[in-house]
Amino acid sequence: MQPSKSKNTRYQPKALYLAAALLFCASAVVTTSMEYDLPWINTAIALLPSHNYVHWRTRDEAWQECKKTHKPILYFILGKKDGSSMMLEGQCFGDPRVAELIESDFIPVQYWFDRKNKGYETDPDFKYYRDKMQLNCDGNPCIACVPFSLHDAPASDLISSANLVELGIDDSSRLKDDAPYFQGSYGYYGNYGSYGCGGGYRNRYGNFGAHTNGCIQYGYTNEQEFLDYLYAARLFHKLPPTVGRINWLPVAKLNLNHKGAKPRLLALVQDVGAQSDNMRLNLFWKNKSVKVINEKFEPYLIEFHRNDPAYNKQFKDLRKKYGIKQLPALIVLDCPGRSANDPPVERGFVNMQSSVDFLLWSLKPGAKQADHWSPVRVDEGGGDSESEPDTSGEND
Amino acid sequence: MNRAVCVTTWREFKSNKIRLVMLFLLMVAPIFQYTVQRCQSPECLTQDLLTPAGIALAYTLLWGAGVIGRETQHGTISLVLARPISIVSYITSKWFAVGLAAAVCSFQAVLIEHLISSAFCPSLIWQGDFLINGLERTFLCFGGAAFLILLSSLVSGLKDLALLAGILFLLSLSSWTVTLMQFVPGGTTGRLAEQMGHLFAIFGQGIIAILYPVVPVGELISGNYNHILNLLSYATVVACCLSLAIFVLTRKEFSYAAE
Repeated sequence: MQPSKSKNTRYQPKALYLAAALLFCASAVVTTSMEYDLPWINTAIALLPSHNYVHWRTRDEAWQECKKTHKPILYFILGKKDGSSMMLEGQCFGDPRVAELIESDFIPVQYWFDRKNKGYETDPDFKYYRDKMQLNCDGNPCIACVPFSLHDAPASDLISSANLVELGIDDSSRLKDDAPYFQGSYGYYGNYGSYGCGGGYRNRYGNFGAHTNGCIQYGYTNEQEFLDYLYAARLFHKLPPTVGRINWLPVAKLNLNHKGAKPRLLALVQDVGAQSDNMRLNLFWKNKSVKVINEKFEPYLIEFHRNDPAYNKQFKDLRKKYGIKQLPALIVLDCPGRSANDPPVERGFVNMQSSVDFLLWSLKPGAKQADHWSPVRVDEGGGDSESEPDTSGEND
Repeated sequence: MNRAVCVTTWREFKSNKIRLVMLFLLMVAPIFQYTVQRCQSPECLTQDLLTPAGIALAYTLLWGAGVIGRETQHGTISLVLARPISIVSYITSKWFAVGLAAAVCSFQAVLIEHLISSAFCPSLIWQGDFLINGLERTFLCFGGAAFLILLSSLVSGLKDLALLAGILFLLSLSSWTVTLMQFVPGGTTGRLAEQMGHLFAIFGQGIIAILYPVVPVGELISGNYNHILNLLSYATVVACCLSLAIFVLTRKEFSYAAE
């Protein structure tokens, strides 16, 4: 009898079993190698074609390019094996539209670190981001947009702003209240609620998927939210800071050798920086301080541009003469009963009341400089920091 | 592959009214939740606002629960296998039938969402995200179907659902244990703890690959072949699940009487 060609009902598909076993072994080897971070797997993955359309620069290259083009540097601090970091890489860096946006408006720098590698904390780049820029490097994506003027600045200066539009303040009348206006973790707050929610930036969903403070984003949720962040970040710190409601006199008319009709107040501030922003929003806007300054002084606003030594050169002698090392500062000239070479100086800024007390005190005849008119001790690093490479001429 | 087995599987589903109602609800719910939201603000078309591709697993569960177990319970599997059909052909046909039906339903659901969105906002009509979402759903359906076939071949009736629930409960329990270990003094220090952490991570990745067999189509289309490793794990899950299901069924004794 001729044997049937049809297979037995219970026949075993050996080829399928073999294929399954091989696939299982391959997957196990790959997964284990990735978990233990074996070198061969990283080499193999690197060989796979991966479309990363962003042209990355090193930190030094980015700074050199930033000095020429004045484009902001966009730092990506990413954790190896972190799911959000890998999503960010896969969804955004591989998308030509996102890459084009990054290339056109920013100078991108990426830094990957592995928290499982014990030596990562000693890496100079990691130290720079964590200690110098004071960014939260916990393995989740941290994206920081640093404009030219804020190179090397800490995170507190990056997220700070004194422009009312950037802060999302649409009713400036509330700034006149004497209640303090301060900066919180996710924006600025007064006694009447929060302003701007994250330095004026609120994503299109009206909430925070990733934590965003103006030009710093922690975490990653999706591509659209990242694009929202990019659009907001490229405009942050572009608008001029507020000068408040003080009747400032033109600086060109300032002559240190001649006395004014009233005592002259020199307010030395930076165009960016948390301390200067604090002074602008509190001292230059509140009813009480505005009244004192406008009625009793001839006020001059002397603005320094961070990382712009050519512009700051005109005020170099002024800072040297009165020993102003860091900004902001208030100097009262022509005080009754005081010599012109030893005017009262308030270094740094704490709050509006303290500065008003200082101003009223300086008008008293024969008043002497008191220690507590230096509310921020310069030697402890208070005040707005200034970057070293290009501003060496400013730091006396 | 056997056409008759596939058709029987689909017909059987059609005769079950409860499943049909659940299928209808599964299609309607995302339309209300996501599509209406999307029509209100069309610029918000993101992955988050599309119905997640993971919903395809719900369709697979609906189509695949007890797909072999019920035939084992009713004794019909012996009659089916009395015909010249091998168990290999039977299993692959069942897998294909469940996977295809679930994929068609879930793709249809995303298509309906897309049509409604486009009617309200014509600018959305050329958004490719819908297509990518649909393709990811298709992969998920076939991957999930393979695992359900394996579960269904192990037990009779709808006990595969209980098996799935048990697996999920054990996973939750183990994840709580790992979390609790972090609070035990000295529990997470030392070489042994480090090795345990690695083993848990490898085990966890395996479980995720089985329970959520996703292939990131969007990333692969955009040219990021780093994600090709997901394809490897996907192929492994499908091949291993089907092999095990065939192996289990070939070693099983079937009775003609209902259990």
